[in-house]
Amino acid sequence: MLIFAIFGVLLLGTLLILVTHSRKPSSARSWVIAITAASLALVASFVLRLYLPSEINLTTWHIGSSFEVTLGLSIGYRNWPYIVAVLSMSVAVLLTDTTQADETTSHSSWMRVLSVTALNMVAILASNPITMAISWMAIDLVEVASLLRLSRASKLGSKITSAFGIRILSTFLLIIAASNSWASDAGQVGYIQATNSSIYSLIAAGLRLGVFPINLPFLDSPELKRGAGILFRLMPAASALVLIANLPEEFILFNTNLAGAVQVLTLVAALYSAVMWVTRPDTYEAQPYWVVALSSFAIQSALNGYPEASRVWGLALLLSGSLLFLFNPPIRRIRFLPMLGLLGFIGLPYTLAASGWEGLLPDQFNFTWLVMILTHALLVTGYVRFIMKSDSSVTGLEKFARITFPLRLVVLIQTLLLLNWVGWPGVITVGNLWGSLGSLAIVVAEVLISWRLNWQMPEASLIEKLPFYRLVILLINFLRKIMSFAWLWALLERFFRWLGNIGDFIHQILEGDGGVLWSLVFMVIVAIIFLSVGSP
Amino acid sequence: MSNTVVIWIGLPIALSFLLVSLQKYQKITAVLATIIPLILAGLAVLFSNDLVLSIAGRQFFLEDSLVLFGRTIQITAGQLGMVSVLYLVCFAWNAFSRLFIVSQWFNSLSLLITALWVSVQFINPFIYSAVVIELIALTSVPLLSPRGTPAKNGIIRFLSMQTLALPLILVSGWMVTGIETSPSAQALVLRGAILVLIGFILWVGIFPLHSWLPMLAEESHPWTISFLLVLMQVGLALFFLKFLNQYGWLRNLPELDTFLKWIGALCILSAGVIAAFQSNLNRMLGYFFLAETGYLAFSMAFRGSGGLEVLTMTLFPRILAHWALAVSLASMQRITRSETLTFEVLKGIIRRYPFASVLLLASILNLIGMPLFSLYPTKHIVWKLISTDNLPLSLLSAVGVLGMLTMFLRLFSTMINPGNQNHQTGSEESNVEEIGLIIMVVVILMVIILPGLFPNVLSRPVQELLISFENLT
Repeated sequence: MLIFAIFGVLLLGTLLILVTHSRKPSSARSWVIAITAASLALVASFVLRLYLPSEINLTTWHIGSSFEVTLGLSIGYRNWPYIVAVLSMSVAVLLTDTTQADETTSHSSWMRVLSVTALNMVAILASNPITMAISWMAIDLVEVASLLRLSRASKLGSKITSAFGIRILSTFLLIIAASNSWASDAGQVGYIQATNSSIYSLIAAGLRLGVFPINLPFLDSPELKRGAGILFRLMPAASALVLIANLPEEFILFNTNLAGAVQVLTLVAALYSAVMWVTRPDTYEAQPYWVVALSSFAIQSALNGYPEASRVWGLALLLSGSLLFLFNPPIRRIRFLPMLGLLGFIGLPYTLAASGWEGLLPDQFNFTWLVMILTHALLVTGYVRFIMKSDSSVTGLEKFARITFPLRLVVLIQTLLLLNWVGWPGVITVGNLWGSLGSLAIVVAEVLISWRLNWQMPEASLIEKLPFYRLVILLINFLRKIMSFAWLWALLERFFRWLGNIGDFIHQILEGDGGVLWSLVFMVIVAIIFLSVGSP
Repeated sequence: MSNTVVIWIGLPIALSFLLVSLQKYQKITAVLATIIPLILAGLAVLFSNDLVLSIAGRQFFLEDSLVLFGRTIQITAGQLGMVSVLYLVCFAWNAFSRLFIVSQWFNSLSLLITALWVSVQFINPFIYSAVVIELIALTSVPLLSPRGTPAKNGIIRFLSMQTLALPLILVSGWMVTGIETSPSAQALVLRGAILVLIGFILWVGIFPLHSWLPMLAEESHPWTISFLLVLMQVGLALFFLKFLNQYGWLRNLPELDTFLKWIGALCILSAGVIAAFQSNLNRMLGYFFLAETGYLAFSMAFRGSGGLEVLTMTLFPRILAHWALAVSLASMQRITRSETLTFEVLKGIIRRYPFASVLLLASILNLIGMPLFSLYPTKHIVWKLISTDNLPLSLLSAVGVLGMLTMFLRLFSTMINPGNQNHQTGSEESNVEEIGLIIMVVVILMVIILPGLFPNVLSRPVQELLISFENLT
């Protein structure tokens, strides 16, 4: 029942804002309604911890037939932390809006924050892939509608299409996985999943997270730089991460070859994104790489047979990520607050991500260890660098903003700490010391170098003096070209055109003057093929 | 009047002739053509348990058969469900016909065509149904090719295919007598089955004999063509089931199910792959029908594993999906004042007509079978059945669906990217959608989304639809 109360509060808040604003517009009242609804939902989500695990049936399709399917929600230790994280992000974003005064901060954006949070919660709590696919579709439609309302939407057309296309493709893969898992586990209505179809689910999640191939189109519009924009960029990742966390541990056994290819792609995506993350000039441009890198960690955990370990990397993506991205303007005096976000993913013993190492590093030491530790260290360094670069000293803030500005960060930090304490049984652990200490050593070295460089990227003239500079630059440029996947899209486009020409030719034959005769000829050919192939 | 055949076939045919004579009064004919099928559908539902009606202590009995020129037409109580579905289709298309510029004969002829499709299901022996189907094709001509305009290639191709199918079915009908007297004659059974199947392939328009579908869809108004194709698809599906139910030699043919599965996969694949490269939305209507024929073929092929259940469950969602697409295409055609909806016409249209555009995109997603929309709950079952069966079929079907998704994304991209000319005029033309259109779009969206979440709403009323096919259920 409590879960319905959370949905109810969020939707009621949306409705109240809509009704009250249409009668008598008042931004202050709308904001108070929004923050009250989100805060109540957040508090209720903490209470929900006392009722884990629980199941809720929403509806049953095709009752009485042999194809009965139950749509429902289930809440357990795998998705409860995500619910808390998502609600904390909403509260933090709403608090952010008190410090901004522009046309994008309005009652409609707060309504969107509440409704999109509710929709994402359905996806996170989905008890089976069908429920998840439905909520994914709803989220995608709402998101594409929001993107089309961006001020720069007309210039972002192709990027919006590719972002939406990838989402649609991931939903399609999820429904393929749902069909397959149903086929092999007749009668199974609960979560997830036949082991033989889990690889499709993993690829669906990977596509959605932007990992296979790296595909987070950089949508540059002023609205996306602020609170709600950040929320809409990070939140959809949550349900994909839940999907990964719910994969059966042994699924890899059934898909060795495909899983091997996926693993290589993930490693490349992780390392590349980490390098890009650490070298971007600002957090806005670096955001997509943060998502890809930590999503790769989550996928890697599933591939190593510890899907549950993906949870910590997902939480880091959401909580530590929003902590950094919402630290805007970056006020030097309080930069210790976002620095606490490191607790979410630094992976030292007894911190939240300590349990994540077992998923990240395979049981046997191999090359993956080195890549993962290096990637992790790069992520930490980038995070520290972005915070240390903060040099704003804002004056003239409204009195309430002096409280709400740090409060949004505090909300996220307290969620991190709470999850570190009561997130799930066994959350307080030492973890893999090799991983955490190895990463820490690299980070210390990198931080020292960065400190020497005053947290800026080295001057071009300095870099040019490095040994093998030209070769390295050549290699990096080559990698950037490869990883941009522009070549892949160009290749696909050419292939599509080539197929289109063939299609045109066939279409001209079939619809031309001799079309009926040609149709009969084709039919005979198809019949011959059918007869020669025989029954499958 | 106390005869089912008179009420559901004779009377509507007579009324349709009456409507022809009232041609000048368009509003009246539209209203009558909307009310009459609704009443007929309602009556069919009322009598679907038994053919007795008790009013104020008096009982009215209906006869269930009529002998006409030595042929029997029989509509029993159990079959009235099918009748109601056909008349509901007629009602749905007539109710909105005034919104669009369709042929002046639409209202009267749509009623006539529906009555003829009803008769197709119940004439014995069945070969006469083939003649009625040819009659339907000929009756459709005034709707597809307005008076005074030369007949286009699509309609000629359509008539050719329908006419080619006629002798095949007739010959198979004559052979049936031989088969029934000596059921062990395998060669005869095979020949009969081949003739029947090719006849149906020509009727429905299955790849590679599908070319008339996109051609006709391109040349005709979407409202008219979608009505004709929906009735044809439902009518022929029921007619084929009647065949299977009636003739054990066809039903028990070991290769039949395999054949139907491959037909299904081929339809979905060809529709998807060809649609992916199209730049004309009207033509896509034809490809959607082709793909849906594939799903119908799959449902029939899997009748041993509950396929017929799926077929009944999917009946209303499919009709609704085609109806929604027809509304969106016809609305687009009206607001853009364009005869055919090429991608060029649709450039940047989402900014000028957001509601109509959203309806179009949602209708397409619905027909593709994406989650959240009404066709997904049943398509999901078909995909499940295919994936249980074999891998090549799953792959072919998946490629077909991917083709459809590619087409959708191309269309989406066109609609959001303003062309140079449109971009300039875009701001002037914004917010020109009428409030009526906006309300209609919202209602239709709810109608296609709610059954996607609660499919029982549409599937439960037709649960017993195929009960009269006792050999199949």
